[in-house]
This record gives sequence, structure tokens and C-alpha cells, in this order.
Amino acid sequence: MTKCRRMQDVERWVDGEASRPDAVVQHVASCPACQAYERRLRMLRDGVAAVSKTETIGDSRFPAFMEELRERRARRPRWNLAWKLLPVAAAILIVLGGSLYTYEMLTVPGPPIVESASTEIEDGTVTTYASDNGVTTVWVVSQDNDVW
Amino acid sequence: MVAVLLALSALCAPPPAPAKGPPPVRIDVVAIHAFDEAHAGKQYEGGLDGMKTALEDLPYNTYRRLDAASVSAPFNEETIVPLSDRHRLYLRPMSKEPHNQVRLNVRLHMTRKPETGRTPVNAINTTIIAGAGRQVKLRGVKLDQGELVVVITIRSD
Repeated sequence: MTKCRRMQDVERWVDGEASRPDAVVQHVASCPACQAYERRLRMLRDGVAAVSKTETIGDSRFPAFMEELRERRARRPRWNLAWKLLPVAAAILIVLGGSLYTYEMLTVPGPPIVESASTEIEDGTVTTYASDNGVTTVWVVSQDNDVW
Repeated sequence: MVAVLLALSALCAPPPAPAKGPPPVRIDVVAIHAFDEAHAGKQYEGGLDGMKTALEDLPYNTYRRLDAASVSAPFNEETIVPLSDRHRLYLRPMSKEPHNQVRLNVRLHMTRKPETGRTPVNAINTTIIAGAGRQVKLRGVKLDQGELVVVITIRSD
């Protein structure tokens, strides 16, 4: 790149710090080297500005910023609490389910119970038994085949 | 005077509402003729496949459905289920019991063959307590060359 002894003036001018900006403008208009240098400086400055766009919270906006922050923090714990309560809820469900299952197992009646059983068949007797499959049998037995 | 007023109030009083008892009990009854035939393995005829569990302990190899009925039996009344020309089943729900059970009186009534000259009898008279879905099997009553088997199932309300 071609050098010019007034490039430092161009830098100050681009930064807005030139003591005699009119003179710099007049020189740049007639100096191709300084014109190229000015273009480079401005490209560089625009690029930096594009990258560093950190939003600064001024004093006037700070209370609103803090208010928003408080609202966000107030919202967040609900989800956190829900997630924290999830294992507790699961544990309660398991305990309740187990209790219900145990209750059902203890209270669901088994095979039918025979309170009484008899027969009017002469020489007949009645016996009862409950099978493993939950069926209760009432069985009349007689040796005399003629009674039927 | 007081007696007159009492009599008048008694006359004007609305008739007592009929006592509302528990609803009738739904009961399924299947009558089966169990006997032996000359074939291997057990044979269930007439859609008795669903009764295999109840019949599995019987020593016969052929099971034929004689009759099947689903009845709604009111409490403290006898509901009659004809099973064959000589056998009838009497069902009388007596009371509700804990855990949705029912106390049920069952009579298997039988008329004798005419040649025996004997009077009809209750071949089986039993009272059971059974819950919904539970089965009671009556057996031992001779029928031709086999047995009459009656499977009673209490149904849920």
C-alpha cells in the first residue's frame, strides 16, 4: 500500500478527532493513498461495530431491566419446583399403587365358600372342595344307582 | 279426641314407600352332560371351551352342553332355571356380603325316573358365599351313563 505522510491525520479524522477536518477532507480528495486508507479504516471500524453489539443497560432502563429479571426469576422456580416434585409424586404413586394392590390381594375374596350343603337322596352324602383354579365344587355321592 | 286425630293422621298419611332392596344378582348357569365316549382326549361340545377350567378335574372325556341361561335373581326370591326334563335349579340370593359377595342358596331339584317310584328330591341343597366372577360347580347327579354338571357363575353388577 502506498504511504502518505498525512495518514495519521486521516486516522484522527475517521475517529472524529481531527483538529482541522476541512484540511483533511481536502487532502484526501486529492490523495489516492489516503482515499484507500480511509476506505480501509472505515471498513475496519464498521466490522468491529458489527461484532461488538453488546447492549448496554443505561441508568434510565436499569429499573425496567431489573423488573424483567425479577419476573423471570419468579417464573423459573415453578418449573424447578415441578421438576423437583416429580420424584416425590412418583414415589407417592408407587406407594399408593402398592397399597392398593396389597389391599386388593388381601380383600378380594377367594373361591366361593360353602356355608352348608346337603342332599335328600337316600344314602347320599355331599362333599365340597375348592380347586386351585378358584372353582368350588359341591359333589353329591350315592352308591345306589337306582335312586336317579 | 286425641285418638280421633291420630286415626285421621294415619288415614291421611301417604302409603309407605316400598322398601328398595339390593338389585337382583345376575347369575349364569350352564348345565352339562359329562360322560365317556370311545375317543382319545377330552372333547368339549356346544361351545364349552370356556368351561374347561371348571371341568378339568372331572374324569370324563366328553362334555355336552344341555342348557345355558343367564338370569337376574332378586333377593329372597327363588328363581327357577330348568336344566333338563327331570332337573331344575332353584337360585335364591339371600344377602349381600362384604367385598361385593353374595350369599346364595342353590337347590338342584330332581324328579326320579318313573320306574323307581320315588318322590322328587333336592339332590343338592347348598348355601354359598361367592364374589363376582367366581364359579361353583355342582356334580355327582347321575345322568344316563354319566353325570349332570352345573356350573354357576356370579356376574358383577
